[in-house]
Amino acid sequence: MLWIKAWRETRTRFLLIAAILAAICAWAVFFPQTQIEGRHVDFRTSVYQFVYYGKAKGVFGILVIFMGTGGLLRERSLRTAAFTLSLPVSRLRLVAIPAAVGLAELTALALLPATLLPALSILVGQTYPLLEALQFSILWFGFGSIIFAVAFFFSVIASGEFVAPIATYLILMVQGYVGPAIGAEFVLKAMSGLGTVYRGAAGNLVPTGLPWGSLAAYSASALILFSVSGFITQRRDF
Amino acid sequence: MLYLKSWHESRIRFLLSLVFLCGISSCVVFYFAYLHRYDRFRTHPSPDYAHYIWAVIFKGGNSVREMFVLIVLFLGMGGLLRERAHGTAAFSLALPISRWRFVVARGLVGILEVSALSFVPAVTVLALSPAIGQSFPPAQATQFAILWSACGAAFFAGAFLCSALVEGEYASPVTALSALALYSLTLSISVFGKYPLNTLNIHSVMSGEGMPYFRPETAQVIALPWGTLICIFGLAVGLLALSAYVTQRQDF
Repeated sequence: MLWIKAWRETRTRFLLIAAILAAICAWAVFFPQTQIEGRHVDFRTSVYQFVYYGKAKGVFGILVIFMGTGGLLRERSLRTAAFTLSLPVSRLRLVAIPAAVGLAELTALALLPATLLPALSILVGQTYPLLEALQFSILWFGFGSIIFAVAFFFSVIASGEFVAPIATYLILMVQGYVGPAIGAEFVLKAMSGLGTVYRGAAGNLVPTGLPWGSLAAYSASALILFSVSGFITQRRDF
Repeated sequence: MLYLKSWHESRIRFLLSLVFLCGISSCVVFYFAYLHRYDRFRTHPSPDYAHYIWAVIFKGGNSVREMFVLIVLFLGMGGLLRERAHGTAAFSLALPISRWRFVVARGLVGILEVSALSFVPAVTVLALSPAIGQSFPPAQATQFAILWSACGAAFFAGAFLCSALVEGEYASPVTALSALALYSLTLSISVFGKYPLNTLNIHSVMSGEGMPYFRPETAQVIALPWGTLICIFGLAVGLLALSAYVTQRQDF
């Protein structure tokens, strides 16, 4: 039942984000650019620039913040926390299940371009390699999970409606400046595969391998944030 | 009293945004001093101060301007639908005033906050530039602030309409952000480039990029496009009026 509750609470946001991502992917395929910064580009590069480097990635990175918001503190503000807390389940489950549902939704969103781009490309007589799209999906999920985890953490410690999304956004922006200075990749930049793709002779972007070290480090950080969120919720007085 | 209520509801967001914009603009100014001192510019010859400030603050593409637009969308959140979710709408609706006045008060306070925020980067740059031995023309800073005020009001009104239309936890900011993305997407269609509608590309009006009133060689606004600004402000007023109409017809 908790799974259904978590899904119902987030489904509007999830479906809205999925719709906008689908629209951007369709746009990239049906209206490909032929020139970028005065340079002729092929279909594959145009799709990469539009989806994985540009608009879709930015929209995904920002909107994922809202997937992590909600939780018992918000329920307290809406005066429904007592009903949830009276259910015969541990608080750890009350935290773990929304996190799991959120991560499942994140996976679906990350896989959306990988499903749509190769399929829609056929309709316009082009091809977009599924393997390449899947590699970007892994990047989106891996680096998106830390954004989701930070938003989730803030929604556990702060009760204000907009505190969690604003704080997460600010941290994301600050990370863009501070991260590279201390050797950590800027999450939004890493999602586009920068550093893991190179421009081939024909102008194509060929993935040369995923940054497994960074992905593991960010995923571990996300896991720690989920654990801390569970610990805080267990000890909080509602 | 309604104005005070609207201010109390949005002041934390406003003050947080003010501190953030001020902080990020200060960092941009001092970062120029660092880049200049250690010759860390990526482009050679290194850009002059006016070009640097325009590119990092006023232009677009991971700039302060984009952060400002996102902040403005957050300021547009709230309203009676949100109050209904919190169980306080009945108290507001019991007050002996029309729903129009609710919307007008919240809209007016929001637009004033947006106008105040639009001056923050300009004032910060003007105030801090002498500290690093540089100067930025006050007229330019003021002109960009006016462009941001009018265009910010339109983005605010769009978010305001979303908050009047969409119910559900965080569904309204997600809708506003999605609408913004769709708007930006639509503008990227090259066919619009042929029509005068292109001059109403709010992103370009804000930054001046590609606009006849902006001189890229010097990164300066020659004269403010008052006609365009009035159109954009009219659009904002129209969106606020639509929000009021929607709110009047809603059943709480």
